Amino acid sequence: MAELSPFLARYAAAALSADDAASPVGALIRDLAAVPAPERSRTALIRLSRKAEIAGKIARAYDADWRKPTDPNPIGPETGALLCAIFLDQTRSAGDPRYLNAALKMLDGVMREPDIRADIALRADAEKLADAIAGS
Amino acid sequence: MRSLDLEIIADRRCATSRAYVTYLARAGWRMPSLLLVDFGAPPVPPTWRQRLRSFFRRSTPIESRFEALCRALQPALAAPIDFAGDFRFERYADKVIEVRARDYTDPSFQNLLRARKDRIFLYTNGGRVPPSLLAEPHLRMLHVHPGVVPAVRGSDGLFWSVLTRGRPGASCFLMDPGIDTGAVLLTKEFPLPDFKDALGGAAIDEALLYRALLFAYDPHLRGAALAELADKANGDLRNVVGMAQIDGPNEAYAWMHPRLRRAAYARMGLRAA
Repeated sequence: MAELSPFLARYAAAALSADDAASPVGALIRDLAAVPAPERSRTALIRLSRKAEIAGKIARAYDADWRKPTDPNPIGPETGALLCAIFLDQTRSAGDPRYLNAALKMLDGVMREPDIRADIALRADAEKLADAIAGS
Repeated sequence: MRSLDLEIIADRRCATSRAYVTYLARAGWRMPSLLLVDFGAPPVPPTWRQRLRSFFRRSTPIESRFEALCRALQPALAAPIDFAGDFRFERYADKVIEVRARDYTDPSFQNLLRARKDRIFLYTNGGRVPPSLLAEPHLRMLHVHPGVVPAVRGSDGLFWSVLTRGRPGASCFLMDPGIDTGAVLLTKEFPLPDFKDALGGAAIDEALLYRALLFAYDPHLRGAALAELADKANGDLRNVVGMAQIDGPNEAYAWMHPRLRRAAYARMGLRAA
């Protein structure tokens, strides 16, 4: 297992004890956190970002093509925050603003469930990345 | 004027429709016919109370500022367009057919398109076109998207193009049921605009600026791309053949968060408040 950045490791540790730990989506998000940015599944990242940005909710399980949730309960806020941290890490490593867009919407409440608006550290990191893009 | 084998499905209220006919006329093209559509439910006569309210609403400060902003952007562009005043579509086509349709699911509108399907249509507005209509043989609908596909698909193409490719772009393609996945006829990138002088470097309300760029700048890119396609096809758009898009990891973008849009504005010499 590759070493996580301290920032990502903090969110991964919090998500380990979340009550959605056994759910397929919760497990997928933790798997994504466990590998370096270039090795993460783009398909999984895109699917999750679209759920956050467009559906406004990330459920615990979906059918094979991710059209319908098979467990409509949302993932917990700890796992939601971990996903946001992954998006920020992905932006920083791969330079793709698509993931920052998803992270900003998660922090603004476009994603209603789970609600991670109160996470100040994630917000500060997202702002820093947005400033870097504006200044580049 | 040269005759262009294309039937625009123009939305009377849509800025892009105005841009298309303006740029085509500027390049010397005129169409035999044009469908001028009023999309939406049939109008209900307003009550006296609504009339009174709309009279006072006519010139709200926000709308006046929006119109002024749209006008201020025009001198920096190749073919300034009056997006606010009355517009005479009959200047650009031999025959204008006026139609009312709820949207593209309206059966009578679909029948009208079916009856005219020996033509090639240009989509301008009116919501989603049902995949079943696009799948009909011989019904060909052209779309001009503000971004070079397959790299920039989806919403806010103008801003994603500026942010990820450093310049705006446009693509002309034949619509298929996917999101911006149709066979491509032309792609074009444009120099990055500099609106700094047009707006004097003033900070502008973000929401207003977003609306104004989509309403009064984005249509210019589409119009210019369409005019170039008309020239390339020598007016015979019915027989143009599209190139399938390269399959790859090019998923459609979602609408851009205002925080990121600010970065795109800055690259165009604009500042959001």
